Amino acid sequence: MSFKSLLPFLLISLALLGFLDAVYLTAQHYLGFTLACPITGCSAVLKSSYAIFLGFPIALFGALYYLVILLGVVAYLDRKKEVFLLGAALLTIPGFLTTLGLIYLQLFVINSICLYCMISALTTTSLFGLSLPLLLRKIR
Amino acid sequence: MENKNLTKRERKELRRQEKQAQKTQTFKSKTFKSILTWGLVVLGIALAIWGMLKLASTPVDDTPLTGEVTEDDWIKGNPNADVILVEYSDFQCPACGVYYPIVKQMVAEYEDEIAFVYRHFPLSQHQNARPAAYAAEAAGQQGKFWEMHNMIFDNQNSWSEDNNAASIFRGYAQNLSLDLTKYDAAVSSTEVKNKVDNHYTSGVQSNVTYTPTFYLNGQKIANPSNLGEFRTLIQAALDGN
Repeated sequence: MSFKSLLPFLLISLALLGFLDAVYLTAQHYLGFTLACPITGCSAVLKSSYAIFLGFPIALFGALYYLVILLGVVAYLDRKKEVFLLGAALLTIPGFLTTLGLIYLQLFVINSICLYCMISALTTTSLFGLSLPLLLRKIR
Repeated sequence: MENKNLTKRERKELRRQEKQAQKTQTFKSKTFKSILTWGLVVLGIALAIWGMLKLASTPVDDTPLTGEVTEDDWIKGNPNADVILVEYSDFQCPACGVYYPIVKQMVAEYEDEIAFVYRHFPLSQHQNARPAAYAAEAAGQQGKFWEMHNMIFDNQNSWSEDNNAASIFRGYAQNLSLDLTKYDAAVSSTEVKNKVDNHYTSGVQSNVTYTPTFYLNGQKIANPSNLGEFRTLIQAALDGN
């Protein structure tokens, strides 16, 4: 199988992994107890003020982001219209940039690393990396 | 053949119909495939969300409390009670500050029936949590642990971010008319430091990962969201005995 025919399935797998991760974090946010001070680590990151954006946990935006990419690639496989794949590929750019910002916050502001956030960082970065050849080809 | 009897026009019409039927057939199978694909996707997503919700809502881990309640512990209420509530707390933790009046009220209500144990679990991100714990222990050496404990929590906002919290605590010691020479010696003694360390270590062994963490008769409980929920838990433990 060529890279091109494999690409949609790789993207779907990664987006699904990221989606599971983000939904888990979102669920924890809403179901977990809120009244506690965590020992440094994952909860330190997730309970920090940076984990909330516009009143919603960042993980929720992450879940929606992965969902849109996932649906975009499925739409491409279904309709065979490249515009869907291209749209999903384009979306990985802001996703990757957001990841860079969030890693910076963890390393230099909160001074704590959260494994689940790092999994998400890995998936957004891989999604971006896989989409890059496609995007570059379009620019040329 | 039959077709031979048909006129040219009729034959054309027949071919057109055949083509149309084929078209509908491929269209039908294509739509079917689409519906199948999207159905599976929706099902998969629903399953994923359901699974994660289930995973995230698993109850608190049930690591039991290690470390028996000893005479060294700070106990409020009835030290001989059958129902024992242990709290691992950090004086600078805002959540502990929120629970402080709730626990205080509850212990007052069940004074004769429960033993409440306070243990130190100063978190590393709270710079004044340790000095506060030392101050409470130092006051404890002069029999005023709970008085100092209350004062520290009552004024949590005024010392939490202060760079010289120790001198604020010394002021509380003065207010409680403690022997300041003894207090000063105790605050910086290894004895007091070791005691706080021991509390912390016992918490780590019991898998405490946040403050306040409550143990009711040795079992970790999810933090109740209000006094009423706390009462229900205590009442259930009392009824169970």
